[in-house]
Amino acid sequence: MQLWKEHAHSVIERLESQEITAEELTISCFDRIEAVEPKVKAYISLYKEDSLKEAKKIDNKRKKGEKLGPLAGIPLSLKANISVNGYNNNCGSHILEGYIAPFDAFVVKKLIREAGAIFIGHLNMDEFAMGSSTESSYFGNTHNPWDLAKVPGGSSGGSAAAMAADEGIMTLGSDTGGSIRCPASYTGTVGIKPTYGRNSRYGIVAYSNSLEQVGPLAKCVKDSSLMLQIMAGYDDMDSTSANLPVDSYSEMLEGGIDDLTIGIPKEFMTDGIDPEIINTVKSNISSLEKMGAQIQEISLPNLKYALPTYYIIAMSEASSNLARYDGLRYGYRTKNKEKIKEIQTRFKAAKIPISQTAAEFMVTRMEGFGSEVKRRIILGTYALSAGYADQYYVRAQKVRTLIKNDFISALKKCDILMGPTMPNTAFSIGTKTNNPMEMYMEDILTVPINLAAVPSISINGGFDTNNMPIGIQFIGKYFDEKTILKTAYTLEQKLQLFKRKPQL
Amino acid sequence: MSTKPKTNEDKSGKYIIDNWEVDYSVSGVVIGLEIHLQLNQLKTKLFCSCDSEYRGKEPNTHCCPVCMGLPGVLPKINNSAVDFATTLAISLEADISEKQFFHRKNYYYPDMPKNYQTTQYNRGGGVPFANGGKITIKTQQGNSREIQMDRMHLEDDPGKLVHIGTFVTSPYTKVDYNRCGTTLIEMVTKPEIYDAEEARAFLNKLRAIISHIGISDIAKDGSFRVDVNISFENQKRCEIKNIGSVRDVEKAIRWEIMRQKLLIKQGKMINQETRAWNGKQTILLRTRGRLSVFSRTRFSTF
Repeated sequence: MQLWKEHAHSVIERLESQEITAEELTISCFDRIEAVEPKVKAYISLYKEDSLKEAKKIDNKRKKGEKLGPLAGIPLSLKANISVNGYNNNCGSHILEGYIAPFDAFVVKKLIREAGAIFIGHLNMDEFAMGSSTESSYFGNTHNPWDLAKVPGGSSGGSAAAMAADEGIMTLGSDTGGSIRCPASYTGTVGIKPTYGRNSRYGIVAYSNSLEQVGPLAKCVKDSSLMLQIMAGYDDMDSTSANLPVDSYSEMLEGGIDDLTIGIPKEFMTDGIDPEIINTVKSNISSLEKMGAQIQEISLPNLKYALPTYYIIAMSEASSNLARYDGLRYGYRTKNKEKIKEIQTRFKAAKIPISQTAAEFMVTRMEGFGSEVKRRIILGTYALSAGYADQYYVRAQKVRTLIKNDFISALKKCDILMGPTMPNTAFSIGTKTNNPMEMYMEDILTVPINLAAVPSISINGGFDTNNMPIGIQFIGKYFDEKTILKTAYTLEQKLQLFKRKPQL
Repeated sequence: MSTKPKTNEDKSGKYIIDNWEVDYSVSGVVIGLEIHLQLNQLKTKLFCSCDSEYRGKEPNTHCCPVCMGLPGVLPKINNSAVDFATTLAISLEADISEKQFFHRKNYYYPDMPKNYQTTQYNRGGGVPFANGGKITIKTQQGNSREIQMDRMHLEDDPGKLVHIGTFVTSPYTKVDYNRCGTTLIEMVTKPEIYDAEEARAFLNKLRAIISHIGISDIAKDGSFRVDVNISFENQKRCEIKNIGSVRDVEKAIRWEIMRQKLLIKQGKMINQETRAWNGKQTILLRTRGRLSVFSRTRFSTF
């Protein structure tokens, strides 16, 4: 039985009718993981024993006729920045080596403790979610299942690769500037970044607080909506989570898209975007038009400022959020006494004597962080330092408001916006690591959405001539996830691309 | 009231003050006070539900993932802390800001697990909890005078470093995070205090108000700490940090006025310095520009 091929919504019924057991499903997933993981390398850690124990528990409960949660017995893999009580969530970084989270993230509470999903492992990611290719992970590259020489996107690259390679049934990612949608686009999977505040960020290791959200990365739209309707909602521990009702998204997908007005931002369809992608988007636009949608060209005039605005805000917040990793209380701590002495001597020579503790902090951070993280900490600290904050961070916040207003006024004229997710399809491993600017340019179509805090979903819209998936992005009004899910579902059902799988 | 100081040297050994007759009715000196008040009548800490009573407790037993700043946690404001601050602001007739913000003051220190302090004070023109306010005092001449407040804000207190003996001789340093995350209110006066007696009268009145509204038991050790800023006309400002009692504030102001007057008399300029009061005299901690590079950011902007 190749149960690993299944989607969450299709196994639920089979589990409930006891046609299959959670144990069989979990074993099948691990069989698949063991077969293809050496090629894909999507996981940082796997917990086979623990998850089989959980699966047996759920099977026993089901046999006894006990009431179970809606996802009971379905394997769930998490991005490595999501805290699970008793497990190491290392964020793809050396500096969190050995750190064991003593609490559950809110979404873990919802999906695992309450709904009954089985946690099977932590997935690879760019270190502290900083990157668009999963190449900055301390634990090595993850490979794109469609072409192993290419990146899976990032930063939730492990989640997306696992879904494309069927290494598991469903995953969670996090999205600060496109970190769910970029890998979803590169691997032909479905990723949703919910509205800022739609769900709680409690337990998701912070990179940039004002931008990031946690969201499902799954094999199809229905699975995404199933997960989202369970994990969304208000959390007392996150003051930025919204106390608003959550719809049953998975039951609202059918019914077509008559009367829907779709806005096409002309800034999303410009010269910088691969012509093959533009053509795919255009053909999908005409499909949706044939299905009854109204198409309207709109403009987001401040979009050109989105990338620098995003990077100033994200790096500033990152420099502060990552300050806590000093090795004093948990995680990696240097044992390099010589280097500590050397640092002290160098500071003394510069007439700034520093304590041994301060020198130890420095060496720990020197050795514990990778170069991309260091780059962002340095730039962020510069942008926040006395005298510069007004020029950079405060100004970026003002520009952010302009970008937000662009989206608000565009979404007054249309129900949703549509465009490509990424300016190109997946690129080859190693081609952009030495040029950070080129890597940052990858995010040009995803970061505006995080700045505006609106919800967005990326689904597979077709393939390019190299058989690499092309992502299509739908952007919705605040807290109106149901409309983008419905539109994405309608297109997905028409295209049926989830039936096409990479050869591994 | 006047005292005759003996010969003393400060750390740098620059000045010697000997039998300097102090003229307290000095003109041209302005004093501003910065008061750190622990809201020790709160049951829980400012951003989590840990017990805020840290005195006499086993070290590191009143901590949770939130006040320890573990990866992934988020702060949640203590509503009672906002109520207490509101009561104080109303008592001082201050204008409470309609929108409240917190900022991060970023610097590395082992007693602060997140390596930033969460505070409402933002040097770049942020919004404090409340602006203005005033306290009416009686001067020595028997007149009453209003001393204007500049602002007040909420912030969290760091943990405590514990040494064996003194900071210098201790073979190691231990950290106790029980205090970490408890609530402080910082109040700043306008530089409108002109002598030590006025400062004393102001602080006594403020302590009476705090006791009356019941937001803090100021008799508890370390609950009421004062920083004093003193400057003469056309001179740089000196700050005396962390004075624990009103009596010591009064003494420290007298000493500092005297020290600065002597320097001016000798034709020297006053350096911008941070100083400490050791019970007898003010001593140099650091001159400006050293170890004071902070950066600030907002969190949870919307």
